[in-house]
Amino acid sequence: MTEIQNIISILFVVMGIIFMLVGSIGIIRLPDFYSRTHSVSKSDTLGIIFVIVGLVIYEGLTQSSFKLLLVVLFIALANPIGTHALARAAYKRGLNPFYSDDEIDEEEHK
Amino acid sequence: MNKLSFFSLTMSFLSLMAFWVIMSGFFDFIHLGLGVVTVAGVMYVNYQLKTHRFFDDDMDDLSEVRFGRTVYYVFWMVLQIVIAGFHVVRIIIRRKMPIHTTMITFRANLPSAHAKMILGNSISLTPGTLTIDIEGDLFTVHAIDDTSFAGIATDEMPRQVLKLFEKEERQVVEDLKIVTRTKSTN
Amino acid sequence: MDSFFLYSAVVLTIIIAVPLVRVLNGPTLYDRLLATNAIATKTIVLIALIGFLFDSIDMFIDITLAYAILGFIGSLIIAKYVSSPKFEEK
Repeated sequence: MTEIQNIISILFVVMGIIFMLVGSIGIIRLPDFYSRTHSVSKSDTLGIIFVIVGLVIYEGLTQSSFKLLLVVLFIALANPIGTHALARAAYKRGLNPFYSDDEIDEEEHK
Repeated sequence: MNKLSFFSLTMSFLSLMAFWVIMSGFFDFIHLGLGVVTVAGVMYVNYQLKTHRFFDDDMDDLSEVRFGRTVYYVFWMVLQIVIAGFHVVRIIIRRKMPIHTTMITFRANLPSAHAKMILGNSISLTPGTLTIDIEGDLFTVHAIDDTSFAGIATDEMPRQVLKLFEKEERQVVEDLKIVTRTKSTN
Repeated sequence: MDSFFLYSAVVLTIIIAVPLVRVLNGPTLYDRLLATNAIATKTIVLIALIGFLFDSIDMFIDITLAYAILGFIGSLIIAKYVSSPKFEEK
C-alpha cells in the first residue's frame, strides 16, 4: 500500500517540477511582458498544485495534509490575482504590448 | 448600510470555525471554547467591513449564490487549470513559439461586483487568457494566441459564471472588440 | 524516499534561480517584479519540501502558510504602489 502511495506521489512531484521548470524557461524565452505573465500565472500555478498534491498523497490523512490543501487553495486563488495586479499596474502606466513579428526577430538577432 | 442575514452569519461562523479546527488540531473543550471566542471577536471586528458597500452593485447576501452549481463549477475550474497549464507548456517548448498576442475588450452583463470578480479570476485561469483591467463592466483581456479567446467570444465561459447566480440563461458578453495596437510608438 | 526529497529540493533550487536572469536584465521594471513574484511563489514549495526532508512537516507547514500570505500581500502592495501616480519611473 505504501509502495503504491510513494510511486503516485513521486509521479506527481516530478510532473509538478517539470511544469515549474517550463514556467521558469517561459519567463526567459517569451518576448514581451504580457506573455510572460501567462507563463507565471498558469504554468507555475499548475506546477505548485501538482507538487503539493503529491506531498499530500505521501503524507496521508493527517492534520498537516489538510493544511497543505489550504495552501493549494490559497495559491490557486492568489497567484492569478498577483499577476493580474502586476499586469494592471503595467497597463495603467502605459506599457505597450508589441504585436508585429519583426520586432520579435530583432530581439532574437541582438 | 445593509444588514447581514442569519444564513450569511452562520456560514461565515462555520467556515472560520473549520479554519480554526484545521489550524489547531485539538478537539477538547478548552480549545474549542477559545475558538468560539476568537471567531466571535473576528466577526465583530469585521462586521463593518462586511456591511460596507465598496461598489454600487455589491452582492447583498450570500444566499444569492446557488450552492449546488458551485460544486460543479469548482470541478470545471480544476479541469480548466490543468488544460491551461498544458496549453502554455505546449507554446513554450516549441522552437518557434506560435504566439500572436491580442488585446480584447468587452462588456459583461453580470448581476453583481462579486460575479465580475469571479469572472475575472476565471478568465485568468482558463487557457491563454489573462484579465488585465476591470472598470465598471468593461473588461480588458490579453490573449496569447488567435484562438484562445474563443471561449469568451462564444459566451461559453461567462455563462458558467452567470449560472452561479441566476437560473435563466442570457447573453453575457456584449460588444466584443479586438484592440490590436501595432508596434509601440514611444 | 528521503533521497528523493533531497534531489527534488536541489532541482527546485536550480529552477528557482533561473528567473534571476530576468531580474538582472529585464527590460522594464515590471519584468523584474514579475520574476521576483515567480521566485516567491516557488519558494513556498521549497519550504514544504524541506519540511518533509527534515521529517517535521507539522512545524514547517505553518511557516509555509505565513510565507504564502506575506508574499501575496507584498506583491499586491508593490503593484498598487507602482501603479499609483506618486511613483516616478527612473
